[in-house]
Amino acid sequence: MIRLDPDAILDRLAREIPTDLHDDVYLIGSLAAAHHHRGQIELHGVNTKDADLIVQPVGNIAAVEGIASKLRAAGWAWKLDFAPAGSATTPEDALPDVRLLPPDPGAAYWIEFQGLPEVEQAEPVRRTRVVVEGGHFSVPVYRFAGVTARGLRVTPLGIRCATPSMMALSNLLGHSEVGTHRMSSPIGGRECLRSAKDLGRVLAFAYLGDRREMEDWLDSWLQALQACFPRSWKILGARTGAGLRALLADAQAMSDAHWATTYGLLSGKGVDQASFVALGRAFLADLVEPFEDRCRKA
Amino acid sequence: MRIEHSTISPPKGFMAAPPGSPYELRRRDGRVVVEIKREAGAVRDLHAALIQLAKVVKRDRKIEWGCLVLVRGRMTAEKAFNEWTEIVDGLLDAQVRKRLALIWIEPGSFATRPETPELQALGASLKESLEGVEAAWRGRRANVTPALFEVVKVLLHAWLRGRGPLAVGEIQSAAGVAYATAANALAFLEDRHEVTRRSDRSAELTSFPTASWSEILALSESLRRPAWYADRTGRPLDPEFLLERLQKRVPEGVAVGGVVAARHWDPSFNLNGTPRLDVTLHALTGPSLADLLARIDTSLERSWRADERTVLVVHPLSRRETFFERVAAGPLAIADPVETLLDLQEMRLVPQAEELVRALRKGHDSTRP
Repeated sequence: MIRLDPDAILDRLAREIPTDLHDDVYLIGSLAAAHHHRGQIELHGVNTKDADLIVQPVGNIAAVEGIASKLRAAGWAWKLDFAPAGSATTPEDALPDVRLLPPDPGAAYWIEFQGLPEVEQAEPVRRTRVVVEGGHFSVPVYRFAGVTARGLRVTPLGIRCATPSMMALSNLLGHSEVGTHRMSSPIGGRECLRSAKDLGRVLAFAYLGDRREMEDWLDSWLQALQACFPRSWKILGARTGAGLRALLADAQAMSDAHWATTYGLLSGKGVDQASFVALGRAFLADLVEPFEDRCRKA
Repeated sequence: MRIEHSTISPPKGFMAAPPGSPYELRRRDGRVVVEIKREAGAVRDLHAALIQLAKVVKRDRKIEWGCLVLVRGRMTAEKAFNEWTEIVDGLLDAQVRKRLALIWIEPGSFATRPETPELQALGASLKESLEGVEAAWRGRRANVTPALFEVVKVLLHAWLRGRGPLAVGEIQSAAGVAYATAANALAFLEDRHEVTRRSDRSAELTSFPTASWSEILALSESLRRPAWYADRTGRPLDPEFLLERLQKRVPEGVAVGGVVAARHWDPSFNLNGTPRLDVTLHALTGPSLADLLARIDTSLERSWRADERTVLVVHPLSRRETFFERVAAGPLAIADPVETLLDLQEMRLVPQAEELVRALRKGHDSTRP
């Protein structure tokens, strides 16, 4: 976990990713959020480790092979300390993700690739094998990542970023319960629950966001969910807050969420856990429950 | 005209706290702050006042003593000190604990915890200052009844707006009190030379009713029964956002007061920003409190008193006539100038309240006999 200046790293990404690839990928995760909220967090920077890139369009997983090859040709290096590249006999769920380090050895981040799901993807994550330079990797396609492709913002140097609104919806839908899965990399020395980290980030968006803008989230959430899940949006939307409610009811998980968030987007903000819980309840009441109602009554 | 928030003259070396402060007095060097609670009735009042003071002391390391003064409390001194010890010793960290003091004052005596010479001297000074107004205090509760409160507000409204004398029936009707009650209230105010009667028995204020107003302010909380709401999320407070939300879904029987209304009544009103949203809720025509909150912000939490996280205050208005003012510029009504003054006083914006009175009277004083 390292502290990064979001604008500097985005400018760097824009320079280090060949221009002809800019339209094939967009950024999600903490760096995309940090870019959106750079006014509020610029004094503190953001703690992160990676830049998550989603490859567009839907079904274009094979493009990862081409993009990774181009980046390799441009001097990017494999980051294989999580796991070595697999072979043709390695099962897909044991293959490492595609992770690349930028050419500048001083760069303190790496990129990871994800794919965009097809409409109505049912599995929480679908892994697709890609082969780059003879090594076998997998590209995860998360079920609710599709909503993040809507309303992308473009940085001055041309890198596209997902909006906090859509990342919040994706994270809310992606965790309908707290679960037991923990982060493989500790955050501040603590192996936080994955759901707590992702749902905590939603609350960070709620803290950093302009409440006037957030009033428009309901409409954009509805449009995104209907576009990505034209058949099941009512059922999915009606339980958008299930994971957040479970998180708020679980003190240990909430502690993880607070911990992960204060190491991330809310670093240096002095948000205590009681305020964080109040923030969760407020977000639920202000946005999530009205959204669930709209889906339920539609 | 001088509107006093405090009925106490500050002891030597002390001054009234700046407007909006969560305490009443401060020593000139800022190292001692004093909050005075009069007739505190319940243990929870003590708890709330102590917690508020602890926050002030914790935030400002320059403060050597944060003193809570209980005057004529309705609990015993022993009970107050026991509660104090339990909270201070049990809940607060040492850095805050050792800088907090409780001073108990009742007619003829006082006590302090801890019993340092400095606090004993302060207790003696405060007791002396408070004894100077004890006589007024003794009669105060009997004088300022809710009915008198409403009658004074109706008269003051007419005076501030230059409406001239009001017939007793008008006053009775607007205040929503019985004819005899209105007549008695007028007689009381006449005895104080705050009201003058015309030959047709109509009545108007002779000037700003300083004595009655001072008594009203001292009992403002119990007379007005405001409901305070706080944002506990840690987000920056944004009362103007709450106002925008209310304006989108305006219910009947609701008007905005406080600083927003003050700017309406006096376009040159001198205050940067909006510290909180004050809303007047008419009991006869307005929505329920729950409905009103649903329109503004469902996530706000009710608190026992105003503190630095207070973002919304709802003031119930029970009299028949609202005196709300409709403005063409927006959908939301404006609370009358008297409710606005009371809101400003609650926020301890005393100079601004005085200035508002002057602005409203401008023009009326020179044209009226």
